[in-house]
Amino acid sequence: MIYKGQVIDINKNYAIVLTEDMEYKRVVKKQKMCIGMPILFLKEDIYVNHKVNLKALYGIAAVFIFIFFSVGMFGRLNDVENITASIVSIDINPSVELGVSPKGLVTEIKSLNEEGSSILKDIPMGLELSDTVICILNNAYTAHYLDQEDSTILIAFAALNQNSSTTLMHQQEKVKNSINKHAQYKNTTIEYIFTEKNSIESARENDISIGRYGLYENLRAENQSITVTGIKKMNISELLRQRNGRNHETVGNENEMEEDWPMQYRHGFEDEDDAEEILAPHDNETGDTNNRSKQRVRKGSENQSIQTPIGSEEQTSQEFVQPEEIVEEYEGQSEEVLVPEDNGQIPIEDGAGHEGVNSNGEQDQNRESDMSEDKDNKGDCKNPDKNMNKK
Amino acid sequence: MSLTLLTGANRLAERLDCIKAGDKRERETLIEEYMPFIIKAVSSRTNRYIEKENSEEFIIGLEAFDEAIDKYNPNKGGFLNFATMVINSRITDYYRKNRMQSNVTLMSQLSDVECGSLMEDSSVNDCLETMELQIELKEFKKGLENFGITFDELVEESPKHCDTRLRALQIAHYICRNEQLKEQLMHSKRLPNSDLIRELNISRKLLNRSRKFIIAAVVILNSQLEVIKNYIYGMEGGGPYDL
Repeated sequence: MIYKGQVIDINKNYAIVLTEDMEYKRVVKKQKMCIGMPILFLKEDIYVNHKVNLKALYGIAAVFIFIFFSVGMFGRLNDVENITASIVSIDINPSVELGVSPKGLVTEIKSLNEEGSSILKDIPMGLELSDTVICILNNAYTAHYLDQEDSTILIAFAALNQNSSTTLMHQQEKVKNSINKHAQYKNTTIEYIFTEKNSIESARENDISIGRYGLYENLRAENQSITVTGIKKMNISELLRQRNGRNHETVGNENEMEEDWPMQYRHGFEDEDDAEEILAPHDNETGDTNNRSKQRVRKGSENQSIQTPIGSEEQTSQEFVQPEEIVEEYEGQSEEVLVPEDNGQIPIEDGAGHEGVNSNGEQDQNRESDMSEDKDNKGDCKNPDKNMNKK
Repeated sequence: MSLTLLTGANRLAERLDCIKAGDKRERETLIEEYMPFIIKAVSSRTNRYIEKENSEEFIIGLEAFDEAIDKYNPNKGGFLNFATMVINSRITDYYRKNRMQSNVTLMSQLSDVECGSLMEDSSVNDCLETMELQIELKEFKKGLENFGITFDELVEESPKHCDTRLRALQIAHYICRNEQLKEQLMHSKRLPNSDLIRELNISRKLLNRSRKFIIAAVVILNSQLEVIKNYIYGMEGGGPYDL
């Protein structure tokens, strides 16, 4: 198409032409152009503005940045260093499983049951294993899975290759140290076990955590009648109780028992306290583990037996509220519960207990003296300065 | 695509054969069809725009194209390449010839008769007209600046569709004829939208989108820019158009 027009303005790079059709057009500037010059020009001569559109530039830049970060993230996720090298399972009642990279970063988080998904809320990936474990335990604590006295946590470690088995020990130490820093888990029994790589596949096939499967394998070595279904239904504390009971019966000492377990597991007992906590048979009557909370309960009952002034043990058990319950409920405040402040006497409704008091004057005196001592002590506690003066 | 080009080339070859055989109408038709090609070839060679249809370079280009039709040998390549080569050669010859003949003569060296004849020369008149036009265009530019409009804005915001432009020009004519509206526009520097919508029964959208174009047309119609005024009249069909 041929345009005819008149040059009405000339700029640095182009000229503006008013065509016969009253169109204002920019044309490429050529030699000897002057304002008012009539020209013939073609469509090819129309000036195309090559000025960079800032909005378009920003858009393109945004797209490039997005692509850059996407590729970066993708590359990072697929980085060799971030491949899952070991599996860590945490069993409370909720069961969760974590994939851990060789550097100890969590690359994968999944729940193994419905409760597990509830405690995995707001758990970010890419944190260190110890931090992630603490986050999960905190969530479990908030969800009241860990606020009971006999709460038990089973943390199992399994290396996917031999190289990562050594780093797994280090990670277990870190997890243990970070848990110990939190006061709310002081009364919680925490069991660390190490399982073989083969156990991972078997655990997956049976739809249980590697920790449970590790315990199952231990129990199965002694008792062939144990099934995976039975293991699934049992609590972690029950499982541990059974296993430790079996160990107590079958194994004479800790060293022998360690030999019975996988190599990694044996390495797990570098710390003597751990070994005692996990392996030592404790309560002769029940075969319970050396549960700290249980120990505390036993201590509480001893305290109470000291304070119980009257009657026989049977009478006491009938007359008073069960001491273990009191101790469990008011741990560390057993004296205050057992010795009310108003009269310094324990509420006794049963006549037998009262008779016992009257029939034995010495006991009565002892009781009074005990009560007065208690009062004094209580007063001393309330007034430490006074206590100091006494001394 | 290649088949189409091949067909086109064959067709051109056939037409050229017809022209060589003596078909004058076909020759004129071919030249007319290839006018943009000739303009492009001439413009590329001179690196200038062709000013008019009767400019010397353009005529030389037409003659060269005609010559190329006669001298074209299909065995030696494509016709268009050959035509471009012929046009370039003829224009080069023209420049060479002009350069040899160019002698600078001072006005004082000329006699009165020669001066008189020189003043009547069309090229001189053209030059004077161009100077006048330049002055008027500068005034037009200033007139637009009074309304805060630049040529670049006109390029960007003028209606692209021919009918819309025509309608906007009709509105501009109406304003020019109506003294009150024109006065209102010149005074307020804004289009009397409500009056125009009421009186011409046009949409506000049209006024808003063509505002700068309408104002520019009003400025042209109020100026002495006869050449551009002729564009407006030419577009409207020879004279002011009544709405």
